[in-house]
Amino acid sequence: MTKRRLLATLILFGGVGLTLLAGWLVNSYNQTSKDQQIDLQTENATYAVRVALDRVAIGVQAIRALYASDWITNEQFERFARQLTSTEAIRSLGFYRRVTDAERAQYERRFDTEPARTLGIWQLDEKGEQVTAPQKPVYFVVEAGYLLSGAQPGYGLDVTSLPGRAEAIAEASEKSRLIATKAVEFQDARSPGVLLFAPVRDRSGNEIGLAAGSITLSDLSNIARLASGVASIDISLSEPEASTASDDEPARRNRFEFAGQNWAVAVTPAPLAGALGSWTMILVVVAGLAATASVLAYLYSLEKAAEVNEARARLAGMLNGLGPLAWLLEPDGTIVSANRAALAAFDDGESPVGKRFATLPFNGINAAQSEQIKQAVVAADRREDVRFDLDMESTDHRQVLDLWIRPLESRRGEVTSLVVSAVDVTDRYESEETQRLLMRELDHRMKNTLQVIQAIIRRTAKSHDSVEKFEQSLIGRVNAMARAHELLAQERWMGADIGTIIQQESVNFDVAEAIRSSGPRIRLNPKAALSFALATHELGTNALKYGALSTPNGRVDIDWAVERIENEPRFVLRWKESGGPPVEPPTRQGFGSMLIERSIAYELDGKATVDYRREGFTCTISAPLYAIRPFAQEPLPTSPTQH
Amino acid sequence: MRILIVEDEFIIADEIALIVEGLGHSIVGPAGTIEEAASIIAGEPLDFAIIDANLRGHSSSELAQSLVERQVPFCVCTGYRVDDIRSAFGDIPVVQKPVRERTLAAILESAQQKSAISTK
Repeated sequence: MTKRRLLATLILFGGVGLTLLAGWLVNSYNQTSKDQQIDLQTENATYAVRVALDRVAIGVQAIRALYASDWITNEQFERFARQLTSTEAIRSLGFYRRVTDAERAQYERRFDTEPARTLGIWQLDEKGEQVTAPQKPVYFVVEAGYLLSGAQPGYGLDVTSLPGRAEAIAEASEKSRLIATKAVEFQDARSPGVLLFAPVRDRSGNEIGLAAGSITLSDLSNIARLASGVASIDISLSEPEASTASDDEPARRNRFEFAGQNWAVAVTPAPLAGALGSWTMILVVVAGLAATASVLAYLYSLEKAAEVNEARARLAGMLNGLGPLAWLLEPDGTIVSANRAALAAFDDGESPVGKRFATLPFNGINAAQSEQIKQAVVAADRREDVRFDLDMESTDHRQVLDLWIRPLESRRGEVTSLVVSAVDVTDRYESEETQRLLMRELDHRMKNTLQVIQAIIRRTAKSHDSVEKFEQSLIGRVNAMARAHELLAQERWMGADIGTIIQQESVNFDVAEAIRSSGPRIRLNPKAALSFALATHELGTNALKYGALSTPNGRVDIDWAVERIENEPRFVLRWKESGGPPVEPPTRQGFGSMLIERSIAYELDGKATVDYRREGFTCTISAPLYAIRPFAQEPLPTSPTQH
Repeated sequence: MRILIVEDEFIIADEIALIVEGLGHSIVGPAGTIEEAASIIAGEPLDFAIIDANLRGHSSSELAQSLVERQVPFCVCTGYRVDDIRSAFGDIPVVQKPVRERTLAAILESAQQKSAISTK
């Protein structure tokens, strides 16, 4: 369990970690290759820009060389410049004559085109009007020029008056090299551009003017774009010293110095090869995570399966360990499985699986009960909980099963199977039955006893004239009965020994030493025991009142035996008094004597004879042995329902 | 009325006899065994019978049967529950022990009235 958890954790972290690493590698590789491609394209574009600028510079150098040699005519210049500009996107080429203020007047005479013919050296004022240039030490005057657009160059214009030109002109003169202006506006072109100036000197080294060429930035970037194949190029210019302050510009801006200016070239790259780079990274990450998740899910399912198997085994073990029978059924009542107890209950060598539950051969089941089971299965399939006692009786066998059939429902409420349990409650049934019989017998006996007491009260009352005597007599009789009952209860109403009965009654008379009893151990049945107890009590009472026990010297001998009389074994008990006062027969028969004489005869088929001999009263009681002996199986209540 | 008493316990038989005599009837028996009772039922004219349900461990339902056959009205006198008796003897009057004089008197009176009607 914990091993699996550990493994799962390792796989989770390992999987996610490796995936992220792979994603990062793919991404950085893509980034590198993209960067490299962009760098390469930027490099190419820069190169193309430089080539285009070189062409302009070559044009300017050519013009410089041309004017350095000697005076040339405008026609010659034009033919030369047209050729140079036609193949390249050079906006213009020109020559500006250096004219000092002293030379101005003489120089102005050469102009044969307007506005110079009228104005002399001219320039544009703030409103853009052409005006005569104010006096300056040096003028750079357009003397020759060719514009690719075909427009007429501004002959006589002092270019130092135009914005951005003067500084570059001064620098070119001073350094005597090719210098570019910053980006300046051209009147005849929409895009800004740059002018390149190179000083022209005569053979003696005097500066006579400037060769100039110009190109628009849009043309420049177009030429370079076509040459390098990038999507677009952005070209910007700055002073060389300003480049140090532009650290935060994008890295992919190539810089180079050309003609005294800092040039920066940035490209929008053409569509890159391997542009699916970021997708591959996402793909790799997703695939990696999915693989990790799958492995984890597989592990989890393994664990689940193990848990399910374990739970299933535990459940089966539990069911097999149960005493009650248990079955699992299909909703139609077909047996799917049974626990060990259920298998053992029908051990006929055949598996019950696949059979109908209602057809199981329960011992002693009748057709109605089989039908009841069948109906119960149907009812359980309709989601009813069915429970009933199945009381099966065959000739030598009784079994009561507490049968319970209940439906198992799925979460959606469909009955998926039925669970049947059967608990053997035969013992409970039988003990309930026994208890019921015992209760009935107890009830019966108690009522009988009350009836006897009622009779004793009535008879006792009839034969006594004083309440005191009645009370004494009644209490004596009831107590005698109670003692006999107690004795019988000790013996679980199986019977009592005659010796014990006699002993018990003798002790009660407080003159036990005057009573001698002897005889074999003979057990009497409960009825006989009660009769003899009452008889002994009555005999003793009479002896105390009128007989031998009424005087200190009197005594009573009691003995008993089993004797054969007229070929029948009989129990005989003799009561013999002696030493008492002279005996006289009573004038009337009391309840006691009647009880002795008649109840024994009536209840035990016996006989009691009394003899009022003068020297001592005697009484002989006999009864057939069968009537006094304990019943083979006492006392269980012969129910009145049994015939 | 001539009334048969069937009861296996002497004291109880004596008690019932005292009650019945006190009500002005004459006693037949008492009989303490089934055989004795059966011979009386077979041989003597009877107007009514009071029988114990159980005599020395034997059910007295056969006595009840012969009383029905002889058309002698009777009641069962018992310590058992009325339901148990009725399930064996059928729907007959049952007197619960201990016997109350008033109950017995009412039963005997109604029996007397019925016989008076039937003899008319």
